[in-house]
Amino acid sequence: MRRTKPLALLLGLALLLASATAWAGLPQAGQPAPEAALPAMPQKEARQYLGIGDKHYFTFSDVDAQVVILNIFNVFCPYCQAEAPLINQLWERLNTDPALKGKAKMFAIAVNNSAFEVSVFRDKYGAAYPITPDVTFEVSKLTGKSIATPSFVVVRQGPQGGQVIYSHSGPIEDLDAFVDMLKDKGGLR
Amino acid sequence: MSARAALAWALVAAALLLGQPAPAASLSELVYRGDGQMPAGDSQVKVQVGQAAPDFALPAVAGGTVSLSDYRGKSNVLISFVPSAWTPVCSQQWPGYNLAEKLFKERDTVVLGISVSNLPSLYAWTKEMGGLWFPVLTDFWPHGRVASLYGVLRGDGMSERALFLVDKQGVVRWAKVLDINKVPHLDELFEALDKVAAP
Repeated sequence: MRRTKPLALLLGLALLLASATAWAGLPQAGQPAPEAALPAMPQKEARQYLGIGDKHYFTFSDVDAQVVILNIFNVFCPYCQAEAPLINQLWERLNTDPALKGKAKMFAIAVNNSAFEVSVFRDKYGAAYPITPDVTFEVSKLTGKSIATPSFVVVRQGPQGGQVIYSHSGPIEDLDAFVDMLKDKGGLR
Repeated sequence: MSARAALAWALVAAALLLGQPAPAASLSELVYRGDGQMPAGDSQVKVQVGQAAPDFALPAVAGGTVSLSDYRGKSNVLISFVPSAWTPVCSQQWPGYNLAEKLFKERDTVVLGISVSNLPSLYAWTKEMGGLWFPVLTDFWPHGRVASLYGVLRGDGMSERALFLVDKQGVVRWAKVLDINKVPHLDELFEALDKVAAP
């Protein structure tokens, strides 16, 4: 008993440390898909693309795709600005690669940005993917109060519900590797 | 050490390593968050809409000195006072003006970014942001002299987050002291700017 008590404490500490950082911030890979309702983008075409109809709020499971990619960003964030061309390339790949088209879809949430600010971003970078201006920080339902931008959450939908297959804070370094991940972990090969 | 103890320590070490939060973009990691929110200021704005904007000359991060009067007859000027380099809101506000560069230029408007932080600090910070299209000036010494001239120097030595729009004749057309803890949206700024210089 004397020897196992400190060991139990150490093991408990180990578990606590490992899990504490998972509670804060993004949903982690391996977890069930988040059920938080996120605000929809104003554009009808964007909502049609995602298959969410006229919903003002939607969840990952509402999106008509096997793999759903969320990009959380802020139009003022210099890293998001630098990455804008790469995200455009991702959008292009999703719409042209036969393994992905119609099966993997993406949307973005612009944290604390107004519709006007999102339009300035769209015009400057030619961003054509769905973007929700989230002035009231509703994405915090998913991320908690503190979020680094850009961040990415990818969900694979399934008959038993969805699962997070990828979760990352920081820019996407390698687009090819990211697309390979979508296909491998998203079951789209 | 027993095998069980070694296993337990290995688990703790693994948790410490694996449990690290995913690295944020580095500007975010380098920004100083201090005690959180900054208190409301105690300054009294000295320059009103309709008055001539007080002239000043300050050292620029890009080198040399920039004066407000350099722009007389040529550009509208948006003077943007920010409290300090390396703080959260400021680290978003000026990259936001990078985003809107085309909109400013369509309206014949240059931004002058002013902070009481010193030149080396401003240099490192704006470089980490990826550079800015507009001049950044230091109001470090005499400390806050220009902020004080405009009535936006706080008792804690930083300036307020404040915007002054000066037209080509050197007249203040819009003046706003903003919530120091919030990133100001572009909407209100361009609404004001469009009244002076719509494209």
